Order: sequence, then C-alpha cells, then structure tokens
Amino acid sequence: MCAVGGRGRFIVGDLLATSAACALIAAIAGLVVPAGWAAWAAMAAGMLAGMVLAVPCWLVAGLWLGMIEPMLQIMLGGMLAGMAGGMAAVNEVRSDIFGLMLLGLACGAATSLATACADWALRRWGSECP
Amino acid sequence: MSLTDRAKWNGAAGSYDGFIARAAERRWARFKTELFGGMNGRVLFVAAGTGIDFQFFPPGRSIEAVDVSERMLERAAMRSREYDGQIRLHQMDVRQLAFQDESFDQAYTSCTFCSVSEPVEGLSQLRRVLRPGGTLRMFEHTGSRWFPFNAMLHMCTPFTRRYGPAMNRPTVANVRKAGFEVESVTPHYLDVVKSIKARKPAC
Repeated sequence: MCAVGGRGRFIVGDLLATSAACALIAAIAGLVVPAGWAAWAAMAAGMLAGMVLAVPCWLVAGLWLGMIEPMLQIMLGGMLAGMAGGMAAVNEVRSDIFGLMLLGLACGAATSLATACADWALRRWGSECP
Repeated sequence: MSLTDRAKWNGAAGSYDGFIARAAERRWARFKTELFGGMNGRVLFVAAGTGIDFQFFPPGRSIEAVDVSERMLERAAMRSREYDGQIRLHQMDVRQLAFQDESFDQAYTSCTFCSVSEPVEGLSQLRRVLRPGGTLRMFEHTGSRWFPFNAMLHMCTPFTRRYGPAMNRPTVANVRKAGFEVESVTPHYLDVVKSIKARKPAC
C-alpha cells in the first residue's frame, strides 16, 4: 500500500535535480553534435553524451538526495535529453540555448514524473508475497 | 577473507557517511526503522559499516555486528557505544562466519549483498548460523524486474563496482538459492530498493 506522505519532499527533490541535470545535458548535447549529421547518428551521439554527462550530475544530486533514486532518473532523463538535444542540433536550433534547456527540462520532468508514477504503481501492486 | 572487498571498503570508510550514506539514510529511515523494529532474541547484523544503521535499532537488544573492514568498524565503534543496548563488533567476512551452527534467532542485513563477492556463499553462511525457523530480514538494493530500470542498473554496475556495490544483484533469487523460504518482498523504490523477509526452514 502506498503512502506518498514523507516521500513528497524526495519526489520534489528528484524532480528538480533531474530537470536541472537534463536541461544542462540537452544544452550541451545540442551544442556538441554536428549540425550536418544524420538524424539517427545525432540521436545516438546525443544519447551517449547524455549518459556520460549524467554521471557527474548524479554524483552531485546524490549527495543530498541519496544515490540510487537520482541515478536512475538522471541516467534515463539524461539519455532522453541528450537524444532530444542531438535531434535539435541537426534541425539547426543549436543557437537557441534557452530552447535546448527548456527541451531538456521537459525531458527531465517527464522522466521524473513517469518514474514516480511507476514507483507508486509498483509499491501498490508489486509486492511479492509467495 | 576477501582482500579485494576488505581493501575496497577500508578505502571507502572515510567518505562513506558523507558521500553515500547520509542522504540515503534520511530517505530510507522509515523503512529501516520498521524492519529493524522486529529484532528479537540473539541477533546477527551483517555489514555494520560505519554503524550508521544503529540509530534504527530498537533499544535494549543484544546484537553481534560484523563487517569485513576494520576501518569501517573503527567508526562503528563510536556509534555502538551510543546505542541503548549491546552491540558487539567483530571483523569478519560473511562468507567465513566464525559463529557456531544454529546460534542465532535472527540475521539482519542492510545494503550488504550488493557488495559481497559470492552472495550465495554468504547467504548460506547466514543459513548455517541461524537456528531452524530463524528469520532473515534484509534491506537491500538489487536489480529490478522492470525494464528500463534494470537496463540502467546493468549499465551502471561496471562503474559502481569499482568503488562500492554492484547495482544489479538478483538478491531475492540468491536468498532462495541459499535455501531460505522467502516470506515477502516489499518494494520501496521501483523494485530496486526493497525489504526481504525470509526464514530458514524449520527442518
């Protein structure tokens, strides 16, 4: 049975940390992926950049949120934000740094909220009582 | 004793509380307090670490706590003195426990079997030292049954294992492999962080 209660501040903390990390990741991915690349290559490069950039973001977030939960959210969100940033780069919107950050912010927030919902569902229905 | 595990955790002892444990303990305090609240009889606590979990133990218990790292135990010693009960610390590898067969009523672990090199061997030792019908209570992070979380944990493990725990251990399956009956598994976060309740068969 789920009781959000005390989890609330951690859900908000995860959301803020993941969104901020993903905004940064999307902006960097958007700047480093070359504009002339094919869409699939830009997405793959962005995802890879997202994975790498997620590690320092996770280590910082982990200091005040715990290690495991931010790791999963920032890694997942970072890959998504990196892909989105890479795609934005090939579509020539790299100069719009605020647009890239907003895109990353949306990816991070969506990942964090989806993760919180999945967590709630698993706690509600996912217990094993053999 | 595994020198690799011992050296790794000796090296981590200085930064463990600040870097890994403190934030996680705030997050997991409620679940640990609930799980450890059931301590009764002769209790073995495996992987005491810096003793950061002692704050969640119910008062007045008599507990044998082991850890592979002497540096961790140095830090745990201070916290064991603050506990309102008895905690005796031993430097010991869970795979080579120096306790007699069937000498404990309960065994507790807290984020332990993510780090033991041969987890089934360690769990089998716990089974050996528990009396028939004795209980195993674990608060662990493990691999997840769910994609994409499990994929993330597999990806992170080569990195995290160098400095600390593996993130993708199938601990519930390992508990069964070691001969315990699993009573319940309660997920606290995405089937990654969970409480596991198991029992050594009565006969």
